[in-house]
Amino acid sequence: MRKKSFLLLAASTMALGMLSVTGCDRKNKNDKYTKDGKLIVSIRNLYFDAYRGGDAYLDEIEKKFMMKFDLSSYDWSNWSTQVNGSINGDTMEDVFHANIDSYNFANTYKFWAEEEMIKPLPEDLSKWPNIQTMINNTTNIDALKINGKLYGIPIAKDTTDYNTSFSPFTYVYRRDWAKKWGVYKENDEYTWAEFEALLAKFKTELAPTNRYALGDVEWGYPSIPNFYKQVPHCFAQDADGKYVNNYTTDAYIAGMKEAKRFMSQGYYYPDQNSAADGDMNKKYYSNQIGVLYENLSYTNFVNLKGQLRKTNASIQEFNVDDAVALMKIKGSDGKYALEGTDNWFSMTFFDYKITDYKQEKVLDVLDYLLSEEGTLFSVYGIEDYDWVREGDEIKIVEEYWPKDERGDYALKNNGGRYLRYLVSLGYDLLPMDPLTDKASINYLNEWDAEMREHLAHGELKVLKENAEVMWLTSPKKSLYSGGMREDALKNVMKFTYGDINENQYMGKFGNLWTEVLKEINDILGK
Amino acid sequence: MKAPLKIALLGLVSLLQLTACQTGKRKVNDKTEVYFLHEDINQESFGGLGVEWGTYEDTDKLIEGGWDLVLRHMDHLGAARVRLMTNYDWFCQNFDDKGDYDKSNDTWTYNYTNKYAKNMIDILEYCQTHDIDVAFGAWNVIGNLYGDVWNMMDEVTSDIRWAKISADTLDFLVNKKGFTCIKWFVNSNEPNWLGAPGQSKNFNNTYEKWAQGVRNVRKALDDIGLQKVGIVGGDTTGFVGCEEYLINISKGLKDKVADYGAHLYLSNITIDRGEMRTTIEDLYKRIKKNDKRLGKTIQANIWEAGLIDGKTALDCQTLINTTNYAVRMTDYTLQSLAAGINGICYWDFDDAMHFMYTNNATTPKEWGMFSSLAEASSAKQELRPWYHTTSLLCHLIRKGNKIYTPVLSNDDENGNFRSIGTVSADGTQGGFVAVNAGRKTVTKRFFLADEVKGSDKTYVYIFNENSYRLGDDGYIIPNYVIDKSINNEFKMDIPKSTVVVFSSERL
Repeated sequence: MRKKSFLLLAASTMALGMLSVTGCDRKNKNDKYTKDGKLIVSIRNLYFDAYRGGDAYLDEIEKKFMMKFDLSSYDWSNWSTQVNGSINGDTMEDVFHANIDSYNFANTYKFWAEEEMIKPLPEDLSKWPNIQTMINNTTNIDALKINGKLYGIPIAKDTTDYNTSFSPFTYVYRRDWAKKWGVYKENDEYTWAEFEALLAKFKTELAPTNRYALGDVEWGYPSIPNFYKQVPHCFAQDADGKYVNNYTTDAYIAGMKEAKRFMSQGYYYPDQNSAADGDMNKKYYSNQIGVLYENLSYTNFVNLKGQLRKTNASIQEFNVDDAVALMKIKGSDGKYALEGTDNWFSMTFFDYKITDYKQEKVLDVLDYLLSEEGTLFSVYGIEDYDWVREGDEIKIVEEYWPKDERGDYALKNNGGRYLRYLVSLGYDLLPMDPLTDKASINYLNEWDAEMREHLAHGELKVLKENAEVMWLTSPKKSLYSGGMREDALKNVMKFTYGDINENQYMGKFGNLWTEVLKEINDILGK
Repeated sequence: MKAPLKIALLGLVSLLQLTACQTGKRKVNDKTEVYFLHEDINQESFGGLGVEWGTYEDTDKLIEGGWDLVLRHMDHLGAARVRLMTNYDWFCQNFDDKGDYDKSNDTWTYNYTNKYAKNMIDILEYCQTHDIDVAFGAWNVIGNLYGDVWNMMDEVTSDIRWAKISADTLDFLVNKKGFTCIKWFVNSNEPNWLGAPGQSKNFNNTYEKWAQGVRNVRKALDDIGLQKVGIVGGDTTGFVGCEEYLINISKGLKDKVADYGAHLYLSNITIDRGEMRTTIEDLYKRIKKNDKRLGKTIQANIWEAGLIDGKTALDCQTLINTTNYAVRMTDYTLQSLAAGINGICYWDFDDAMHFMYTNNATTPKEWGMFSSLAEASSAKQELRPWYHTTSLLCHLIRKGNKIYTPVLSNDDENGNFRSIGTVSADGTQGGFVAVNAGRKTVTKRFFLADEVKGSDKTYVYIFNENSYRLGDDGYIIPNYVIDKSINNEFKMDIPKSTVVVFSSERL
């Protein structure tokens, strides 16, 4: 049904295209306009969060492009459900936002594209050079092309450095406690034995007040196998290069046993298995656990820091920097371990019903926001009010950039900043952004540089599935791999809690795994 | 004109130099002259200023003695109007849909004895005894984001049960409890803001549904003799949303509403550049084209007023405790009144009223003039700067006053100076307010021409980061008291980011 309506639309669009040859402009009668002639576009994006528009900056963009944006966001905890709800109900906004990974790739992106629920980008992107450059630099971009077409914009984390190879999923810890209890190691570097010694000491000190040494963010439990396993998720390779079940490899089993030992030793927060979204973060900032495994992106890091500051506001000698130190842990093999990543993890999509004209207008805006002018607008605002040029320097106008009672620059509700999230998360803009906590970004950048250095010297293990298998779309893999991963993680959880033994655990991976792996190996000629 | 008379002022040394003289007519093209002449009256009867003071979501969270504190601050604020929003979910119980889709046979009962009702009634009792006009309404239809048990989110306020619940509630409050202070009904909050399913109860709304809701409620109120309770025309948010709703109302619904009502949360730049006034004026004119009564028998009001720079994802305002917020909100007020806005309710009175509910936490929406929450730090419980400026404005620009918008009300070389004057209907009280929103000191000479009877002192309040004064009780007091009538010329150097208030009475 949906396909049909798309075809009808395509036919009408073609007809309109013919009209345009006769001198009409490219406006489409199916599009809606405000009374003052602005093209109305509905956009839903996770990062709009509580942003509702209505600011002078969005007005500027709307005037510049003669467009009117109807904005809405998703709930963090229901993002995928809400996207799927609107896809299934055919109520997508003109432009929407979805989380795409290799495990939902087939039943989201690929399925949507094949069923024509989403509209591809124009094949020739040369009219939007900034978008084109960004897309051309996206890792594994060919994996995202269906029949040669790209059905959305991978949202770049950073538009200046596309070679991000590892993610900041790592441990933050209470350096202040480690110092106090005599287990601190210089430069926050810990061997595996030192790490365990720290956990043991934290346990001893914290247990009397029902607090715990270690907690993993809900989606990251158990983090301990990261120091053992070969790949982050399902498909590892054996010595012959053949794809095998990661969760049953010796390496993974060893890591899982270590996680179980950590749990039985009482290092772990005992209710990891029932922790709800955000619980472990809260435990950490409310001083309930001493080490936290988390995605320590800039935003998460600063939030954690802010919350810790708030919780400990009454403690005069509290030093927040000593409460959010990044731990550098070497596994028993003497190597650091971090999960691999691409420079993107979510995409901006266009509803299949969007007209060519409207899609192009949206691309005009996004391309502008990626340009130097648009970037300055997004970060600083309006020239000669929010900021001025002094020679080559950009200076913000202090009188018009208010500071909150702590003396930090306040967030100006700048529609440019939010719309730019449709194409980039703007990690590269953090150093120039007045709102950035400079101490935090410098600290995270130092950690990043140090890890890159370790990577260059072979001291860092980056866990990443091979692209050939990660983005492989084969019938059984596409159908089952998402569920296989979820089931595997449930069984890992059961094993670490002692609900099942190793034999029972191994017995959980049945024919389905065998069939999917066979399919993969056959296709890839392994 | 006599030569300006220098007055020694309490020996205080400051940037300010005040002089006073009797004066005559306006000079032409004198950029220092801010004269409020009789011909400058742009509003004959002002509606009043006030705050959002809605039903508290959890009065158990107040500090011990918190309610007394709330009332004390309300006493000193001098609000002339209040917007009191509530939730029907709190009062409607025992819902029975009879197992069918026919909404007309659904039944439910009301519980007006719980803590929400008690708090709502406490607020109304205060308003009734203090001559405060109330806009009363419900935030939205019944149901929570993940369960539409009443099946109201489809038809929203056009659902026939909405009008019945609204009329039953007002029957109880006005007819039975005698709260005649309720002058308006708010037919749901910000109907033009839709949000998305699971995020907003309003995602299905349209102007047509909202308008049908207004018609239904109007009829239901008329049927129970509440013709005097008007319906807020719009309550929409943002200039664009207001334009859609208010223009439509002025064309096809004007006989059903009692005002044109907006929520305006604006960027600092819109205020600083004086664009708020011109944008409102433009919209005002377009409404007036369709509804000639505007400014005479029907008025335009702002029912939620605030600034969006500094707004966080948790719906808090990080700038709320700064003097700049207070200065800009005063500027906001002056531009609004100059553009014809007849009344404003500021968002909002007390942090303790509303919360943001997320997976992990319940966070107070810190956008008030203080916090009466027990969990708030003592610094947050203190009165914030904008309470003091709002209090000055509420006390000076009273319900029924005339508003003067002088020629030099929105004009200096930087476009950063605004001023309005006011005199009460009986001519016994008055004064003027000015804001220098610019980045340098400006010199102005003020003169209120229409006589304020019996004025023999002038109270001068100077508000900026360095100079406002609080009394022992924590409320604002004048910087200077001049033994001269308000009807003198006052010359003043006004520093940047400063509000000045001249009043015939202590405010």
